Amino acid sequence: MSDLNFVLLSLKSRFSSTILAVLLTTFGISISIILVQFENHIKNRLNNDGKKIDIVVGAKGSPLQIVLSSIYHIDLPTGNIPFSSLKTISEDPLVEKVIPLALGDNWKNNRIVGTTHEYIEHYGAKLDKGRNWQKAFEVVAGSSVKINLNQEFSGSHGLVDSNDMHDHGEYRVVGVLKPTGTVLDRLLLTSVKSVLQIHGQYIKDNEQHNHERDKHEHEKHEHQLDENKHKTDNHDHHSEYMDDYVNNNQGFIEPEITSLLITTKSPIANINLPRLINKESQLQAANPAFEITRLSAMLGLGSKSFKLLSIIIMLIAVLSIFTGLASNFENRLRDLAILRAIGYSKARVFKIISLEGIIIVIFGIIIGLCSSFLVFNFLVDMIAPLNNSNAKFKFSFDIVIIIFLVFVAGLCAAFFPAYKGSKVSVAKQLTQ
Amino acid sequence: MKHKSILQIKSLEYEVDNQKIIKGNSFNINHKEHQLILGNSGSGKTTLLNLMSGLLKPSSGEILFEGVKYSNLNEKDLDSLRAENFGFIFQKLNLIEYLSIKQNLALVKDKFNSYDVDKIISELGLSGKSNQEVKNLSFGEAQRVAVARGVINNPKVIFADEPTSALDDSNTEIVMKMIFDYVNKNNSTLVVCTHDDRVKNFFSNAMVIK
Repeated sequence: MSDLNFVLLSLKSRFSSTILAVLLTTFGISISIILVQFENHIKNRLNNDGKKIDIVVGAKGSPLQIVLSSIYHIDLPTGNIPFSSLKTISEDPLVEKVIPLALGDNWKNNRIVGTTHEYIEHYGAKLDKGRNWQKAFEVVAGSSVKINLNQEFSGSHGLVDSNDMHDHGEYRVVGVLKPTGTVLDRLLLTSVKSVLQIHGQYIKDNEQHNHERDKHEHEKHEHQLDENKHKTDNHDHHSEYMDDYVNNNQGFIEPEITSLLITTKSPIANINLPRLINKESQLQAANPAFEITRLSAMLGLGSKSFKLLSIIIMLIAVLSIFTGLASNFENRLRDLAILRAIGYSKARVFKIISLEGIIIVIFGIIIGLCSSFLVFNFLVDMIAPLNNSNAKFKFSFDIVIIIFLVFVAGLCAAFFPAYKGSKVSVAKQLTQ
Repeated sequence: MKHKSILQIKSLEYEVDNQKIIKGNSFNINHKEHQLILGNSGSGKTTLLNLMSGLLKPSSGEILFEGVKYSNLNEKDLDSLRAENFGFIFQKLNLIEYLSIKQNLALVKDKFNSYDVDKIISELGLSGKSNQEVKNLSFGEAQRVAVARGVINNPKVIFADEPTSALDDSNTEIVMKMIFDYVNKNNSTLVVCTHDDRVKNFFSNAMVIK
């Protein structure tokens, strides 16, 4: 009989403790891998979504909220800012690029973002189908938005799905982007004008046009005010996020947008510009790098607790392998003595007991890997932010390290019983 | 050249906690001359058997197998010598309970490929139970398996410790005959330690230790 055969039979004879040890190893490795997956996913998303955005300008409020709502689209905006601030800030010599964002509506939880084509270019996104928007109410959809080319839809008020639909202003999908692995994948992008117009605000004929012409002379936009729409929209379109707009004496609303994403010309500008902007009473500038570092520090405590928890579970798993092998060790000494008596060397007995530990660890690792994959995907399906951010299980070097550490720890746990087993006093055991 | 004595015991002593259990014993056991070692409980028979089979190290004296001193062998060589040349039949049977009859025999047979496992199980009259775990066998059946395990690797010496102490007269007769059948078939040398006088008749060489 081969040693492997003997080991499998031996493990089978102690089925409960074997299964317990395998399960504990499985739990330990699964939790560790899932935590690593989440951590890597969050890190990657934070890096990809925030790349080359040096400053975000929004309405007065929490800087972190501005960053989260405007870069990562996972929080509500602090309010609105005058559309004219786009021009003011664009003209600042420290600024390289400004991308305006106008939020307020969603379609099935996918935010409708009024912006410029620069937003798409910023993330290096390419069109998969169709074309870019050219006029108001044309939309380009991110890759994970479940919508078809040429589909028409109405946005609903707010940034989460509701029945409060705009009964006017049908959007039409004219393009679909290829996956970018960024926040763009889950957005519906259109012109700033579309979003303003649907909320009863209007950019003067040349305002957005001028801005875009200045930045991209090649882009041509239609800036015809749709009089019919104007008439039908001549009622209050206050959204909860656009409550600070200003009526002028003629009853026109000064257009407002949500925020500006700014790329500066130098790192020094990242420090100076926010200070200058914050002096302006209506505007709040936030430094994404600083805010995300602050957020990570806050979340770090939670993440460290999870890490500690997974280390504890892995230690329990290792101990269970140890106890699984050592607990009924006294009962097994006679069996080991029999093996020694019939000619099994000490090294072979050591190998047999070690092999038991290795098999438990290997099964734990395999099941742990599979279950972490399944559980991660299940959690992604269940947890909306993960689903929205397109979280995917990725094999990384961290997983290799976890597997290696668990394997080594399992081996160490098996070595003590193996050593003790190989030193069994044959004559004493067999005559007891 | 084949040594006449398969086992030579020279001035063998063994002590535990300053108490001598084996006191200067010397004797030889020749090839195919089966040896009975008689003695009361606590007389040191099992200890002597363990010393002769290399399971214990003597306090002093020497044991030679076919002229080879145990003291000249390292632990690994002694393990090999035991595996290749000795068979054991223990008083408490010492079968591995969670293994089947076949698996218990296969443990020993692994390297030596002498007896066919199925054949020996059939000879024991346990064909239908070959895959049954030994913990579910009757004592008599388990005893037969223990005997089979002792002889399956065709050993030169079979050490049997109280092989009949738990058996009635008729079963004693059956087991001893079975052991001798295999011993004679294999040209093995049998060394039996017992306090059971009933087995005396099977041996021409008997030694009493006190």
